[in-house]
Amino acid sequence: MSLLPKQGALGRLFWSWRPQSDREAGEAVVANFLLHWFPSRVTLKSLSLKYSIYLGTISLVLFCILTVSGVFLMFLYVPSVERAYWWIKDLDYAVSFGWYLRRVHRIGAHLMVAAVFLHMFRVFLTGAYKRGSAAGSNRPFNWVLGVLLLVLTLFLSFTGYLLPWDQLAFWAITVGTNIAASVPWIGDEIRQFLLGGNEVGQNTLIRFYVLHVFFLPLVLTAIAIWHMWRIRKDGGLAIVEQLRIRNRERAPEAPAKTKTWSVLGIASGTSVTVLDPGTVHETDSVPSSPFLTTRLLAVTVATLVVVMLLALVVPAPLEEAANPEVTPNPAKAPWYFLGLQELVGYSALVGGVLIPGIVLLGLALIPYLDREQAGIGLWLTDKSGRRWAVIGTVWGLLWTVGSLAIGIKFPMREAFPSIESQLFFDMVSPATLLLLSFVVLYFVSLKVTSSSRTAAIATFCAFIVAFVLLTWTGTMLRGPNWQFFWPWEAWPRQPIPF
Amino acid sequence: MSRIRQISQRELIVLLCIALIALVTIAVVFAQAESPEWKYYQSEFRAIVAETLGSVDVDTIPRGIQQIWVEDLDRVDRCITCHQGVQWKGLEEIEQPWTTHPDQEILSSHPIEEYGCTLCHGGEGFAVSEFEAHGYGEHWEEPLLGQAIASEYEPVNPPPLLQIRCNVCHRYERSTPNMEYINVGKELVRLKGCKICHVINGQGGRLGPDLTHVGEKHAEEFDFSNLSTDQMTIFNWHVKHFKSPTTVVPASIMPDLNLQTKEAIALSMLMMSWRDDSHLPRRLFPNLELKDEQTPEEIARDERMLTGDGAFFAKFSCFVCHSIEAFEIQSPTNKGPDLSWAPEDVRTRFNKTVEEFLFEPTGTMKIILESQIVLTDEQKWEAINKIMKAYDIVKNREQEKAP
Amino acid sequence: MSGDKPVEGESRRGFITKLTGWVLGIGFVAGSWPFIRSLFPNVLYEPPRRFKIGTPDAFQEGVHFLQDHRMFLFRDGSSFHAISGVCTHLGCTVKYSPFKQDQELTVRKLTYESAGEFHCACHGSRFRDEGTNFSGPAPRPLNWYQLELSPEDGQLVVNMSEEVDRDFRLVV
Repeated sequence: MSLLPKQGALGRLFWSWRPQSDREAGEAVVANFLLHWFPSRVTLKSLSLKYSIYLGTISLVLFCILTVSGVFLMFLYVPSVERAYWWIKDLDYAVSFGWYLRRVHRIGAHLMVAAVFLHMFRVFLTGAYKRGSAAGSNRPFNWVLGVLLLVLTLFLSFTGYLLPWDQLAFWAITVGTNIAASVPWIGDEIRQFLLGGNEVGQNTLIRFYVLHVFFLPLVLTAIAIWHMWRIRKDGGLAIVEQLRIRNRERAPEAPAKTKTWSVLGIASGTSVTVLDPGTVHETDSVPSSPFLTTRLLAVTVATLVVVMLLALVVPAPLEEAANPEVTPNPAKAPWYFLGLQELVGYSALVGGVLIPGIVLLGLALIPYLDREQAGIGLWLTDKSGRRWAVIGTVWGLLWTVGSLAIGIKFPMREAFPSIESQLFFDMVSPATLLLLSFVVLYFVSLKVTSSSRTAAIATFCAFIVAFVLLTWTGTMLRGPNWQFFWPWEAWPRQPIPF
Repeated sequence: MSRIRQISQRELIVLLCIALIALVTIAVVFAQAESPEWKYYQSEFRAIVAETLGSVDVDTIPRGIQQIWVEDLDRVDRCITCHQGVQWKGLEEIEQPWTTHPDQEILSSHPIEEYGCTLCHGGEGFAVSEFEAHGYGEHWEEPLLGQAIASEYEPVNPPPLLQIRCNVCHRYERSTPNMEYINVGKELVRLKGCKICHVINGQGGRLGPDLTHVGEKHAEEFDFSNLSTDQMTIFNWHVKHFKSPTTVVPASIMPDLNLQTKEAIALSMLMMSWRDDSHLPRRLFPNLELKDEQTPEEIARDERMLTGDGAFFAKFSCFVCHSIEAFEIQSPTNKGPDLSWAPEDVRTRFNKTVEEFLFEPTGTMKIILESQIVLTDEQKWEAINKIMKAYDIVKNREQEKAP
Repeated sequence: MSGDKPVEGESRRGFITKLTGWVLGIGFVAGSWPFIRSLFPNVLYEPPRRFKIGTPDAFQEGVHFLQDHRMFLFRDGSSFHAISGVCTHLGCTVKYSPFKQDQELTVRKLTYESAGEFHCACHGSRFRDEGTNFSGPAPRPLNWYQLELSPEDGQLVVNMSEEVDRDFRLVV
């Protein structure tokens, strides 16, 4: 009947993955080193695919895939400006499965950037950054850790982008570090620190390499561990708050928990539950082993499958060897920075400094600007939230398209040929217009709904639309000389030697 | 102890399906890796050898990726992975890619172990599939200089573009056997006096750009706006530019050299061959001084052009169109009449004196003197004086001839 | 109805679970293979272990030292063999010292006419001309290498990745 009893050699090794009773399930989490990561029990609502879409898990799995493939790639690559490009050529042609390793790593990187963005969108839209009522819970802080992880992910991708040392890599990093240089007062110093000098060269390559393979993964791992540990301390995924509210309604006089889950409390008690009706009940939850572990296994393998399939069909480009004397036309930053590159084209100050700064600061401050506690864990919170999500999306769409149209059809410098002030063109630019439209949206929605959450939803949805649209524009609609091309217009053919 | 709640069977089946898809995907990855192009060519080669050269044990033929690494050239050529027959005797009649290398004489003076393959042929040595190895990929700038490209320029008589790469090393020779097109190009350079306007290998004038490393110029440094979109190659730019400079570069002062298409092609091949050879090891240039060969007469003639009365006309570029036989100035194009006879010509054609014409020119000279060759009044007087002197010289010579 | 269905359901679950386990296990092993295989190079940027040294007529009767490859080529009539010149002690290059007169020797049950011997200058090891170490710290005899005739152009080909024993001869 039971396939892996606790007795016997195999049984002793693997019983914790297949507990045969609730007691064993509880013990499993304490006895198994890997399983101690998880809570003893997890709510059914947390397990729901529709709730979290497992995006956090997917991000972590992708990071692990990148780490493993990255370590193997380290045996097959050398960070020298003379050699790097040719080692990548050999990787593509002469190393067994070298093309596969490279493609897995590259597509994994792009997917991870997308996954962490989507994860952030999900956490925001479900209001999972809000504090909640459990003792010791601090989800706002975990949100800030998440923003930090987003920045680290982008920086990891950016440093990795340079390593093939081809024209794409060289000039993308040239453009990217030039955008960094637009920070007032310290911009040039930042750029010089990144480059290890004044130009993109050997110093830059080794600097980016060490950041990419050692320093940044280390920091990201540490903060990711902290991020996941905070979930345990916060009592679980935010949807648990709804359960907590319902249980409170059922037993309002029951004592409240004074601290979060204690492993010792579970291990020495006669049952796996800590006596607090505010916390999850046996009817709402299941043991982590095997329910959570099985689902995580499925998500992990599914992510691997997607990465492998994409690695079979999406090639990893390698352009000509890096040549500082020849700039490819157009020269573009990595895709997640193309929205920025588009805005920087209108104003370096607004597009390169103000908007990114406000966005990052804004993101980090969301849980402190919106302290409403209603509807934690529910997608778009309530009917008003859903309505204003649509309004925000439409608003964002209109104003982004409008700002782009103005930028493309009425270039400011041509409209006002007599004005010389750089400040004027920074102030009167499509980028500023877009920024102002967001400010207006936020304050208007705040005034109309008197809800910081609803205002946040509207503004965030507009932000999602603007980000996607600007990125798509920079990728697909900007051709040689940064000219605008409609999707159906062909880009002019580039000349070749023969 | 309560009966354990179990994972639903549906979930288990979903997990199983995902796992099966993963296994299939991995199998596809393996299939991809096990079937590279070269495996077919190598097994065909063994069959061909067994059939043609029966006495050979085909098991000694190497399998897998083969490469020639020429360390001091920093080149890796994997062509011999598919072209396994290049160094074999007896496979001359077999087709590509298994055939013996044609032209054994050139091969023996340029052994593959010391030169690789791509140094002479172009292409991407690192690659192991045909399209990439022949350098036709979008991001490789040294394609295989063979029939495929050449027949796009001249389908009837495709030029031997391979000679371009020969000349990267052989450029300092006056003439090299087996390099007919390049030799024609070099002869034209001497005849047409290109060095008068262009610096080539450290010598020459500065009216036009330095051509010493013109073959290194990147496609983005050329202006293709006067060429149609299906002609946007550097090679084509050169051919069209040689045939008619002002069509390709409207503001150009380079004269039309009246070249035939074949000559333009030869010169274009020469241009593409003038590369930066500073990184090439000396062993590729035995017993050579890295300078152009010139006969003593040519050296003397160039010297005379730069000293004496004629130097004025060289300095101000008049000689580009006009010869002045009195001062032994030879124009490469002779577009305009000999200035020694100017006093007569100007009267006949324009009914003016040389002085009047120079200060109030008409026609082509008006355009030239307004934009290209702008002289101060003083310089104009010097020109007039020299022309008069030249006229005297030629008239005296004529009188001496006819008693 | 009470006992059967649960047991059936159990064994079906059990089957699915087991199958999933096997599929995942095989998938893990197979999926790891590409990564491990990539660490075994297919091409090397090193001097080749198999190389041509010239046609047979380029070598006269006797012993020839090929400095670039650190090996000795022996010719006896139309029979050739190749012996490594790398001392088996610590890797110095040995020198060949010919005798004034051939000597009859029996070495490791083989009797033959010996024309000289190898000496290593580093620590004094000595080898017979058929490779056996007989004096000094060298622990093993010198290697004999595979010798072939190239079907391409008839040159002699030395293959240092294949060792042969003392009775190997290439007869052309």
